[in-house]
Amino acid sequence: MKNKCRVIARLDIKNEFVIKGIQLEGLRKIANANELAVDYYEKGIDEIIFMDAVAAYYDRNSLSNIIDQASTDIFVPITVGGGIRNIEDIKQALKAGADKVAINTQAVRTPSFITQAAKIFGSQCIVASIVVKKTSEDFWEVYTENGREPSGKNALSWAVELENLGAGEIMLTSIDQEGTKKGLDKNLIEQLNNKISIPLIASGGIGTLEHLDTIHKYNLDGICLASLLHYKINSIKEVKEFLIKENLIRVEQ
Amino acid sequence: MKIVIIDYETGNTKSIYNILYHLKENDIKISKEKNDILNADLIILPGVGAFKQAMQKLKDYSLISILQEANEKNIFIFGICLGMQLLFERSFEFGETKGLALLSGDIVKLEAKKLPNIGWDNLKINQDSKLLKGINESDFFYFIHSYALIKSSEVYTLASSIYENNNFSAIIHHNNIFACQFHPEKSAKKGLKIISNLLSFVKERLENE
Repeated sequence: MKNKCRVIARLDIKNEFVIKGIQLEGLRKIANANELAVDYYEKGIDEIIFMDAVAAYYDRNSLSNIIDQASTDIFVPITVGGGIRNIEDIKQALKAGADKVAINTQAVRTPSFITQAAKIFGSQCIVASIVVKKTSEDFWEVYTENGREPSGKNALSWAVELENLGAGEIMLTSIDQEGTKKGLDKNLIEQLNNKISIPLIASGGIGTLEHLDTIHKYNLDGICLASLLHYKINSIKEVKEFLIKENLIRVEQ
Repeated sequence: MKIVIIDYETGNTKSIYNILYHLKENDIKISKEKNDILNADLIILPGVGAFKQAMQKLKDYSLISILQEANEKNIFIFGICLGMQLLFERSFEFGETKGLALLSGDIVKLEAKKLPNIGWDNLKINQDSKLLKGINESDFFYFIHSYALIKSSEVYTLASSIYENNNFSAIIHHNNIFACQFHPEKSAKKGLKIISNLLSFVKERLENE
């Protein structure tokens, strides 16, 4: 049986509203977070990721209320990210109802945090988030602080390291593609996926159904949709119908 | 119906509480107290994480003997994901660890290029059951695991699933014990249906006593 690709809605949150930017800048208010999340659930989304878009400013995650509410109405996996700094943050997120946490900045600051978290909560709870910008041919630099701080790290080798540290899956966001609706960075995805043996979720850039072709070609395990869904370019039904021809996704009967 | 979700800091107890509440259950306790557990009509054993650590927590909270006693009293027990695995004799995750041994069988690692198995997949239905009412082989359920019950007694397995050529048990049932390898509380409407079927089954049995 072929590995099914998960269709994931990514909601970036500021003050309980879903916001959307381009290349992680210039944020616009889109909709009430909870209403949008429940709508996506009812329309057949496979998973939802809530990212705290302003966590970097406060150095903490503030989505507890949203997660708490979401987990009472939504019965698909929920991931929360943005400002997850320590074990207590993870505990709070899971207590509020999240199934997984996405960690970027703190992993770069203190790589052993990933190992510690995986030991306590299990690898399957830990999504290592890698945010990158292409700086030269075949070199993608890892950025922290929601895409603001360059780290000097090479994305490809960092992904391998994260797997070795105990991450359960990798969520890869390309700053260059994010919000542009120009498609995924196929070269990056192909090279990175070849180096790891844990699931890979790509985030950033899907603006048309045709961009979803990358899933088939590069064996992606999950695809995050933001602009495509939030701006109602396509519905979840249309996304799944497009993917169904390859028998690669889940369809609710 | 008195439902007790075992609280041993190893599982998403809140998600399970939420789905039961959504299904209009109103007597749900999240507890590790012997009194609560042995007076329950239905015990739910959640589980997320590693087998060894989970068994250690059960031991630390004296839950091993309590759960074995609950089983002897024929109280209904529903295991989810790691909670299903713990019901068996042992697991080979990080060496060999003994489980609750309420059922016979071993938990072994999936032989696969990519692990964990994370995602939605179909079931192959092996037996008819009230638990599977309204469930078809075209329905999808959410799995997230690296270990599974591979060689099990045919009698236990209601439905199986396949991941990278590993054929493993997805739903099992034996007398008062039910369990799912996938997360029904994270499997949207069909997951809700499985839980709802379970609740109906238990209610029916209780009424007939």
